[in-house]
Amino acid sequence: MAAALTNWIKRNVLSRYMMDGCAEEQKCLEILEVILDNESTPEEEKQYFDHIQKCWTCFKNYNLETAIRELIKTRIERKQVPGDLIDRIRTEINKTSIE
Amino acid sequence: MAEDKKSKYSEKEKTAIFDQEFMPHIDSMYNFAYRLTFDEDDSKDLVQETYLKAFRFIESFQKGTNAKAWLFRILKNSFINDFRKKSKEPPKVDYQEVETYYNSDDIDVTITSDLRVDALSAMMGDEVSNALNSLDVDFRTVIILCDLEGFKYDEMAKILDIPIGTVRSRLHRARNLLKEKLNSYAKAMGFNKKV
Repeated sequence: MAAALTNWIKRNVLSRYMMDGCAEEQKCLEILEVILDNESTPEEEKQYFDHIQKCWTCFKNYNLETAIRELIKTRIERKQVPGDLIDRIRTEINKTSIE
Repeated sequence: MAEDKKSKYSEKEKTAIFDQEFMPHIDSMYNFAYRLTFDEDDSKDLVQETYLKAFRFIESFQKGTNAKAWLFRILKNSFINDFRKKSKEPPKVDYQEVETYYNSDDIDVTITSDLRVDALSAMMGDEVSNALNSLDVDFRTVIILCDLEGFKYDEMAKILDIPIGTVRSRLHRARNLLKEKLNSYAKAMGFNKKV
């Protein structure tokens, strides 16, 4: 509910005070990718976050890309390691060590 | 990388390295193998083969260095060199054919879609998994390494034997393809209307 309200405010209120359409959108998307991969410099981060305060297009891209990363991290189920696999590996290693 | 210099370990040291530095990564290794093969038995074989190779070549590993990246590299090579050849499922795309397409260092234009955050929130795990699994193995691999396993660009470059620039461009393209798949799911779910 709170998230939906925040999104509504962003879409209907904040967007009016920010510029729409970014001449550097591709470049901003490239920097965003590096930021979300934790490979950016502090300068790149500062420049980018200053920019999205004013740019509605990049602000939307930031929200979307962040959501996609979160989706991948949280919705993809991790498989349990089968119980017999560790035993199988140890048995084979012991055989190798004896040989 | 870690295997450039050889170390001489006693049997006791080998066991300690194996137990303390290699085995803690078995969960990530199994999940990586499963996302490559989509088969539990094949994943077990691939992980076992990787650990046996790691033990056999343990002297190529420098104690205290990045064991996870070293193991992932062995697993990836085992998958490509041995496993993929005998795999039941043939590769979806001829690697040579696409090599020129996505191995350049240039980052191509991002596909902008009308995908929205609220559409993503409504997606279930199966849809996200299916979108990831439908990508060609080389694109799938970079997303797994970066987004699921948290490897840095330089680590991925070593695991995959490609330059960092290629890691970045492949990741970028993989994410664009994933976004397209997610967008298709969103449209199928009725989330295609712009606000």
